[in-house]
Amino acid sequence: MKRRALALLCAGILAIGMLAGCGGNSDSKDSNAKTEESKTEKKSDGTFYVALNYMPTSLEPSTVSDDQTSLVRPIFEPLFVETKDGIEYYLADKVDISEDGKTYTIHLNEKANWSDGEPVTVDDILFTMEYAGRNSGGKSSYTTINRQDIVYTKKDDKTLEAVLPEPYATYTAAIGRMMIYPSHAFDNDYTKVEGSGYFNSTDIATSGAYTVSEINDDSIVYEARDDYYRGTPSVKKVVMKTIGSGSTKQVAFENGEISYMRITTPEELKKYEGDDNYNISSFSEARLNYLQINPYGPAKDKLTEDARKAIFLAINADEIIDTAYGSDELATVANSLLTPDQSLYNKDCKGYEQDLEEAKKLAKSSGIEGTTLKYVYNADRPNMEEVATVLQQQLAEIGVTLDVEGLDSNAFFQRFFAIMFQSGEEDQWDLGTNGWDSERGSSLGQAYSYINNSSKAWGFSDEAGQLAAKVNAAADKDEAQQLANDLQDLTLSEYWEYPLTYTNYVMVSQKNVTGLDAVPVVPEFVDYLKIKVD
Amino acid sequence: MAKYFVKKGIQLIIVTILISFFSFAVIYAAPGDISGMYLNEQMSDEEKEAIKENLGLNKSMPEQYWGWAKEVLKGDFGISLANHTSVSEQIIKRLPATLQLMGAALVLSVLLAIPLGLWSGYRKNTWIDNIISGLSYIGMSIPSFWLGMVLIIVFAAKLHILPSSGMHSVGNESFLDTVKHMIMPCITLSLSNLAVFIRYIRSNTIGQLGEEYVLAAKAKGTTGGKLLKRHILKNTLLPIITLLGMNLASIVCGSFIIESVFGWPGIGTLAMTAIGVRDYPVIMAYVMLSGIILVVGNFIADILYAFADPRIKREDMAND
Repeated sequence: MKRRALALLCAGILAIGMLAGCGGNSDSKDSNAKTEESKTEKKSDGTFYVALNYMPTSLEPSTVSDDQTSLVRPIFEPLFVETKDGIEYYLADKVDISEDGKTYTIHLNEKANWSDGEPVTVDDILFTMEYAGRNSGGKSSYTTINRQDIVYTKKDDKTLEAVLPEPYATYTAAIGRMMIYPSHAFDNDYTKVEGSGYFNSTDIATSGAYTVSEINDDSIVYEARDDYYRGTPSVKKVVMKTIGSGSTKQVAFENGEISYMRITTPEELKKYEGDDNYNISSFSEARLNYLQINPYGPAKDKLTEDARKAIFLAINADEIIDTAYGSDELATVANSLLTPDQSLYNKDCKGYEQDLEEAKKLAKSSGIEGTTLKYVYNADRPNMEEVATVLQQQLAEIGVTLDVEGLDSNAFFQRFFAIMFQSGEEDQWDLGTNGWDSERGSSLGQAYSYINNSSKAWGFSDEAGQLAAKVNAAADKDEAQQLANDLQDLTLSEYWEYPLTYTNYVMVSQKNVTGLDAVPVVPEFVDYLKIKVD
Repeated sequence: MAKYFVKKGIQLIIVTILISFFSFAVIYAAPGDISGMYLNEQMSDEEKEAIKENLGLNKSMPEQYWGWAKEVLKGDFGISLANHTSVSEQIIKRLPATLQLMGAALVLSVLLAIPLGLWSGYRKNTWIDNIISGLSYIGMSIPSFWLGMVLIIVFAAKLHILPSSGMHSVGNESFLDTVKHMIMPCITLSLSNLAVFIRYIRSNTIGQLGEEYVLAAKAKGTTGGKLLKRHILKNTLLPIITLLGMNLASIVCGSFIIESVFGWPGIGTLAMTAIGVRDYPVIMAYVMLSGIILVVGNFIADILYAFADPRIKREDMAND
């Protein structure tokens, strides 16, 4: 009898486990009521909870990946951040650029200090540059421009002079976003960093508003510094914890386990927009998603100018927005290779408009009709699969078939950037979508290195490259703007890159969490002082 | 017996070499490599070559393999190319979390499978047997990631009685808190093993019930419960020993999917991240660990099987 009862009980547990999902989506009101209930039971402790995709093995201030940058934002600050409207200062408090655009004088904030009491100095900047170039004979994007050296001179502990070999507007953003290492922790010897385990401990000297309080198996806890030079943050504790992949993050958010999450689909936006339990924050991501035609792909002989024009005229960007993003709240149609967050952006640049009849004519006359083209996209980026589907349908209208392949980030970059990585895969794709992020400030940003690419990886003419170089070198703002306007028109007339969308960075947060959109920079959050958790 | 050990030892070495070589070849052939983390447009071709040389990527596959294998023979699994931390240290740090989860799931499977399998076999073709067997088939068919998500939705999102993911609540590393976090991933992991074990035990129970010793025991008046517990149970467990041996690798190496779904900070998520960035020292260490333990697990299972079933030992001695 007992055994029968035990067996029945075990069978029952199995049955419950397997049938549990048949409940499906419950009524949202019930869900909200329960959420509200659980929230009133749990009073906020003013802690800001952030989801991590994976538990990191180091808290090194690296900008190699967005995840790592977001992870260390509370503890490491940039020198400054360039926006369309000017410079926002952090560890630095002044940047002077000479009239000829070649000499930069960067002054560090007198009060900027490490959490162990040591001042932030120019030695830390120089140390960081040395470390960045450790595998390439000292060369890095901080120390060279067009393969020529930048000359750095330490004027005093807080003042650094950089003399560029030529005027180079994109240098401003590059040097500004550098997150510096505490040189004193390594006796100013960059060879001591690797293998030291320094960034795996709670004793890290931090330059940001927080110090590392705990490193647990699945979470990292940061606590606010009392001696932070910009003031004490109102959020006293930031917890970064691993949350499972996929929908688990959404569950964790609705359970109140994390303070916010990013929204990338129209369904998510609709769900949370009308819900009073949450706040929606949105700002321009300063990102351009674009479609690139590969000058070295398998169909390169067929992709003449007329063929490329046929492809671009067949595209309906509004349909891409409607299908892939749902509305212009998540993304808007792009009209230029620059973003509206760049001061050189020309809002009057015409962009591409669909002309299906012309596209069909050109497809026929150029011989691209009836061709199959290989299309690649980064499957790790949001909305790219949907964009690929729409493009596939649109190009089918002119008789072009897309053989679509989604790749994870690593494989995608090796293929898309085959020329740069020297991977030998440049002949394995014809079309691909990619994005340029952090396209803000007073320069051409990433557009410059693509248009003025010495290896001609992206197809632009020498004329376009030279024009881009002129823009980057122009010290006079009006001159730079005029040249940039010409450049934006010229690049579009060459039909190599189709600017698809400017995306917005949309987040949903718990009702008591505000300030997430105070500084519109991604990877988030540059300024933790602006975040409030009531 | 000594011959047996030597033979198994040689097999272990050969299998290990083959696993390492073919795994390395697969990683080498896969699109992408670690250089994506280090190269940028600003670099000259010479600088890019220097970085690739530092990373060892400019060598041929056999050269890279031998460079790695030489160090492994000295016991050094190298440094992660992604985060410059010792591979062995990272694996050792994550090992307890995985052992905890996978071990608990396996124990749960066995503890539930024994009574259910025995009862199902004893009550063959009755409604109890039909229910248990039906649920076993469902258990074997259900994708684990789906089940994991369903449990999260039900117990975390709807009922709010269990945490959705992670291993601990922040600031709380008590045993009870860890158990709360382990419940859902454990159930998810144990289900497929449970279903398989039940089938094996049921099948063996049915087989044993037809044996003469069972008839003799019944004739002596042994009740059903005592019959199952004292006579049949031990004989039905023999194939479970083999299955447990084969599962030993999964205990150590974890489950990629379940650790990802539940955000469990074990070896599975470490390997997933390494694969994403093509960090081959970490990937190879994981593959080697998995391969060696699989072979060792089978070896241990063979030994235990010989001790559990004296007939196996006598056969071996007769063959010798």
